Amino acid sequence: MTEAIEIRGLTVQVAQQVLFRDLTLGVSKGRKLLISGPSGSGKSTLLKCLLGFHQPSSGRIQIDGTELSAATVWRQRRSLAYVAQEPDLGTGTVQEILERPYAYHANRAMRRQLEQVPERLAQFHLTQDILAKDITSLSGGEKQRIALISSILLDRSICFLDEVTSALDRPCRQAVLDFFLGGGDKTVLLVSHDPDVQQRVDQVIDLGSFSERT
Amino acid sequence: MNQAIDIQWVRLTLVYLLLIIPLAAVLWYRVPLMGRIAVACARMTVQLLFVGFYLQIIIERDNSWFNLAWLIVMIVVADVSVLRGCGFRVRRFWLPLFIALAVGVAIPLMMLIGLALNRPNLMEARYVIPIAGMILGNCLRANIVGIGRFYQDIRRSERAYLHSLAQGASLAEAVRPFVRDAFQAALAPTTATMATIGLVSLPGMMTGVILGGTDPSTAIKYQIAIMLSIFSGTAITVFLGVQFTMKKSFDAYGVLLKEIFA
Repeated sequence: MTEAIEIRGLTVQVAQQVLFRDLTLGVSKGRKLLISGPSGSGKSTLLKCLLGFHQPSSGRIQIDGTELSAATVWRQRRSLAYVAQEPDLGTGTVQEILERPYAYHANRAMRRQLEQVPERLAQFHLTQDILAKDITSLSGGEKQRIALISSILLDRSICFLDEVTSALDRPCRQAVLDFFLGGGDKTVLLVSHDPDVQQRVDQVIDLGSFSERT
Repeated sequence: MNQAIDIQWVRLTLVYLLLIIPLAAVLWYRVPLMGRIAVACARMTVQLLFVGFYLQIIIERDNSWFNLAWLIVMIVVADVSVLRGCGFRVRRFWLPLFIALAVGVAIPLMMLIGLALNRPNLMEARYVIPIAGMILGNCLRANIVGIGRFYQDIRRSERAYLHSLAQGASLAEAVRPFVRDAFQAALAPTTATMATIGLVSLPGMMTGVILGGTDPSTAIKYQIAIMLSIFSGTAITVFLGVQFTMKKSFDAYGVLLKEIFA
């Protein structure tokens, strides 16, 4: 069976410093993987490599059986969702932020997904009046939830989540974990220091063990 | 109307006395500008003396190839000035920006000299050199603002930019808001100048033409033509400048290359 994510012999460095070396990893479709490790071990950088935002020194990445390369990355991003630790969603109102991806050619046919907005807002403890607010006026937790909703609406099969519950209170955190880790067919790779997460994932990888640092 | 009255060199020297009051204010308030003002005044004087001397020769000889060569020199100087003003590596961008500036200057020049002035020779020195200078001078400022802002904004908002790519945007779609903001910033000064011209300021060219002995009614026609040329040249060079430099500014994955900055 084809793995959703397959990484072979990946070595990543930033500014001459090797973050991890010779990482080999497979994540089957629908599985939930926690990426753990100490600060600076390259957890966020690994997610960036999977999106083509950072180029590894060596190694290979396959997504849904296709090698990640400059030629394939643009199509592969259409099956990926990414929520950063401190998401910067651009400028405008929340409504505009949620609508923006559907102006892209890749997502134009999915515009009906926006019909789910009221349901998703309620699911993550947000009210509809937030839609008219400017994104810059939101708190860190609200921004995180809007970023999550935006990624959910795009309905990608593989999700990369980087500390997405760090600014959330317990009920919101629970709602987010229930959605992404409560079964379902989405493949999820997440970076988190949340102790609850470890209990709910299928796999854990400790990047610290691939680090050269002592 | 009469020809312009020549200014005697001795009397022109006396005009430098106008610097006394601003320099006194600079000294009094200890504004750290004294050296830069002195250098700027000296450069302005030497450069204009040189250009005056050169233009006299070039206009007297009026050789189209010489004029074209001078025009190319002007574009190269503007090209390097824009890239330095934006803080970019000159080697990386000089050719794409040179092409953008050349096209952006050539189109309004052809319209103005060939169509409006109806001159048989587009490279006639007394028209092509001063008009190209005015268009290029404005393009230079607009490009420093526009192209500089485009790349600085993407660098500053890199997370928002990458977020767009992660959501499936193509490169053109991801940079569109940055192009829009850069274009707005670059064109706003020329737009504001056009809206207030004649009310707030009498532009240098019109004043020069009137002082040169031409009717104000003719002067305004020149001014309208030159303002439209400047606006068009500015818009074309900024648009093409962004489009052409973009090909060397992002890697194949759409990530902005840090090495474009000096």
